[in-house]
Parts: sequence; structure tokens; C-alpha cells
Amino acid sequence: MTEKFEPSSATAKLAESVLPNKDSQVSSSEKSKTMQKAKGKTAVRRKGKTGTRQSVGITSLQVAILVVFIGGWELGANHGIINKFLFSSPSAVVQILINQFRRGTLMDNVQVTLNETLVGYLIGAIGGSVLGLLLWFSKFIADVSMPFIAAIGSIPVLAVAPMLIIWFGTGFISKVVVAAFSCIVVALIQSYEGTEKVDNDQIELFRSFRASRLQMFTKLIVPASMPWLMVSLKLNVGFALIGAIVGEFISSNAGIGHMIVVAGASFEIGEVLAGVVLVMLLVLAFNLVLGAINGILRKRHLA
Amino acid sequence: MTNTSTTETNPSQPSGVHSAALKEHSKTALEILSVSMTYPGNDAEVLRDISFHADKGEFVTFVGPSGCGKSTLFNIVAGLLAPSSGSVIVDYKENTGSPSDKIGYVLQKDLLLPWRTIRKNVTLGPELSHNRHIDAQQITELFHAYHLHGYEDSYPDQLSGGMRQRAALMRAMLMNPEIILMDEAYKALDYPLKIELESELLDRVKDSGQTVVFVTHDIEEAVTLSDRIYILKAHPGEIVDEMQIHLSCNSNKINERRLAPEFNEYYERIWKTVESGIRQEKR
Repeated sequence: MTEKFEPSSATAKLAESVLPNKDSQVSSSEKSKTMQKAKGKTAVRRKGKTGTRQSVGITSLQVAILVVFIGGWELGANHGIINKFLFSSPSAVVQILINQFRRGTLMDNVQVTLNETLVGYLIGAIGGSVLGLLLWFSKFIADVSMPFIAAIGSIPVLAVAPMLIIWFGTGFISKVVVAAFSCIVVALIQSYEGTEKVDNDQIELFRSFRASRLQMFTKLIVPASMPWLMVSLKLNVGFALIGAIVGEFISSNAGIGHMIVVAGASFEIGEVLAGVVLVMLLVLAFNLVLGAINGILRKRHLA
Repeated sequence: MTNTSTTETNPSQPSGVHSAALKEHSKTALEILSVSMTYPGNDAEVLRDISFHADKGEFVTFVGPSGCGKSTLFNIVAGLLAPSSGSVIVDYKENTGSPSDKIGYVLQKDLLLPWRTIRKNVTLGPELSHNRHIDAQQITELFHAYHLHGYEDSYPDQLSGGMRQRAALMRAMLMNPEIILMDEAYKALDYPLKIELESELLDRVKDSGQTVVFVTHDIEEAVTLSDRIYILKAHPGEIVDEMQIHLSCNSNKINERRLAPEFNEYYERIWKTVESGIRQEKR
């Protein structure tokens, strides 16, 4: 059995070692041809069978872990092994969510936090990405401003949030500012780095065709930076939400953060956990939207 | 010995060659005058006193070991890089350090943009330079000639390495450059396709009178394609020999040219020169 599989795994290894630099270092063309053929065949074979079988196995294991965790928690809480006051129980959390939904407070809180996060994200993550891309036009401005940008980026949101609340009031705007602040620097640095990583040979190809700076920016730099941009857009969903909730923690009268703070102050652990669940669901929803955007980009061969 | 090769032990031409003197050869397409290159912040000299020329319609090849500065020389000739000293003269006009629209180039890397279809990649040159309208008929013919018909709307990652390289060549050819620079352009192609495309290239450039400056380490490729060969040594890159190639074969087919009686002699001579350069360096 094992002997049968040896040759194919050997070619797979060989192909893998050739794959990263298949363009640069193969000395004879005929060698490279056979290598590429070997690579193609083994890659297809591995993806076709073992790949899907393995991912099915992983998914079922993940579901099993989740079931055991939640089930154990519920059983433990019901049989007095787990302290309900400190840890609540899954059924209690679900009950709280249902009650809040019936009262209408759940959707109100979600709506408030969602709006803060969305507007903050649009300003911080999208605006920051655009600024980072635009920095490509001037290496001078980029070099001068980078230390300052990095310094601003090193400030924890929590440290400046109280000040931002004082400046922008206790309402919607201050949460938006905090959310935007917590993602703008990451977005800016990521997208600027994306522009710096564009293949120099491709830039020179554009130069040889005597492309203008604007042409180079729109037709090469921006599309080539999209994969890096997507990474920061994904990361920043979390950061924007943290920003909005931190803002709500400090001063607010609505939102998921507000709900958690109030519940925490009155030792309602079940309600705190309900808030946590809502935050997780929000992130999940954001990621689904981003996944769809990523899918569109991939269809256009941009990611 | 039927060849008429000129061996120069000291390749540096008299540094007093001026444009006025150049005009005596009425058909020089490209002239490089004592180009030297040292990258800023790096003491090692990459190129030392390189002088060469290519006549209109001539196929000139550079052969040399790795580290001989082939790519640096290539970038200087393409105008993408300014040399530390020396001049690049394209069609009797000083063109040092700025890209000329008379020069097209093809690298071993195809540099196709993954988000553009093959057609949009091939037509990148006209699109960026505005001044040329894209002739749909010419593009269709081009796709046929390079056996890529039917792949116009495919994306680069759907094509094999050889096909991508052909698309890169089409991208350069669409601009009708007077001089084509090729840096190991066919290295990634499989052998029969490489021979086929090289034969086609010869047909094309002999027909159109385009000048080709080709860089390779493959001596067989150099002998079968070239009218003239320069041999480089490494550290620093210097021209150690120049050789006129005359194969008694009128065909542009590479497999027939390969069988010309003089082939082996040229091959041996180039190999020995390249090898002695490597040996000298090791000592």
C-alpha cells in the first residue's frame, strides 16, 4: 500500500519545491516542461480527493467541539456543577435574547451599534485605504508622514476615547469618530504597503510604454494593491466594532456596548453574554458581506 | 575556418567615437558608447566600459554567465536605468536613461496583469500611449500568428507558461518597435514551441527589418538566431569577444540552421570563451 503511494508523493514534493520559483531558476527548458506537467497532475489529484475529504472531516470535528462545549456548559449549569450566577447558561442567554427581541430593545441596540460601526468603518477603513493608495503619488510625503502615522497607530483606542467623547459629545458622532480612529491607521499603512509591493518590473513595463503617473496609478497600482487592501478591510471590521463598543462603554444611552455595561454593573452575566453573542453575530454578518465582495474581486481576477 | 569573426581582446572601442563618426555607417539602429554602471551605495562595478552597436535589421546576441550584468545592461539599453557613465544612442539620437518608443522589450517574466484579459494585456501599449488606435484586424491576425486565437478573453492564470510568454511577445510587437530587446524571452517555453517561435521571430524580423538585441546564456540559441554575438564575462560585466556568425543556410528555420556545417565550430568557440572567462574569475 505505502509503496504504491511513494512515487506520487515524491513528485508532489519535487513539484512543490519547484513551484515558488518556476519562473526564475530552471536551467533547461525541457526540464521545466516535465516539472510543470508533474506539478499540474499531482496538484489536481490532491485537490480532487484528499482535499475535500479532509475538509469534511475538519468541519464535522469543529461542529462536534461546539456541541460538546455548549452541551457540557448547559448540563453543568443545570446540575449545579457550573455556577449559574458567574457563568449563566446557554439556554438562559437564548431566553434573554428572545425576551429582548420581543421587547424590541434587541433590534434597537443592534441598530445603534451597527450604524456607528458602519459609518466609522466607511470613514476609517475605506477613507484610510484611499489615503494610503494616494500616498503612492509622493514618496516624499509618505516618507515624511510615516513616523507620525505609525505614532498615531500605536495609541490604544481606549486611551483616547474619553477625550474624543469630550470633544464630540456623548451621541452618535463620538462613537463614529472612535470607530474610525481605530481602523484608519491600519487601513492607511496596509494599502500604502500594498502600493510599495507592486512588482517593479511591471512598473518599468508601464514606464517603457510611457504611461503617465495617473495611468500607472489607476491601471496598475490600485488593482495590484487589492489583495493587501482586502486584508485590511477584513481586519478593520473587528477594529471598527471594538471602537464603537469602547465608545459606548465610556458614555452612551443605547447600543450593544451600552447593554453590556449596564448588565455588567448589575451582575447580569446572562445579559452580558447575550451582548457578546450579538457582537459575534455582527462580525459574522460583516465577514459574509466582505466574503461576497472578495468573491466579486476574485471573479475579476483582482484578488 | 570559413567564418569572418573579429576577435577583440580589448573590446573597448576608442572612446572618442562621436555621433558624427557614427553617421558613416548609415544604418546603425543602436549604439552603446562606453557604458559603465556602479549602483549607488555598492562599490562593486556591474558593467565596465561596454560599447557595442546593432545595425538596422541585425540580430545581435549577448551570451554570458550569470552575474555578467546582462539584466543591468538590458535595462540601460531599454532606457529604464541611467548608467553611471556612457551613452545610449537610438537611431542617432541620444536616449540615455529614458525609454524610447522605438524600443520594445520582452523579459523571461511575462509581466501580464492578472486582472486583464489576454486581449487587454496585449493591447496595453497602445492603450497607454494614446497615440495609436487599436486596429481590431491587426489584433486578430496577431492572435492567429501566435496560436492564441480563442484565448482573447481568457485571463493569464488560465494559460500555460508558454502561452503567457507568447502573449508578452505580442504585447511588445503590437507597438511595431524598430528595436526589440529580449532577455531570456524563450527560456520558459518547451523545446518544439521555442524552435517554432524562434523561426517565426526570424521570419518576422528579417521581413520587417527590425533589429533584435537578444540576451541569453544558451549558446545554441545564440548561434542559430544571431548575425553577431557578443560574449560577456562577469564581475564586472565586460565584453570579451565579438563574433560574426555566418551559417551557410538560407532558411530561417532553427532546426535547419542548427544543422549548418559551421554550427559546431561556433558553438565550441563561444563555449571556450565563456568557460575561460569563468575560469579566470575563479582564479
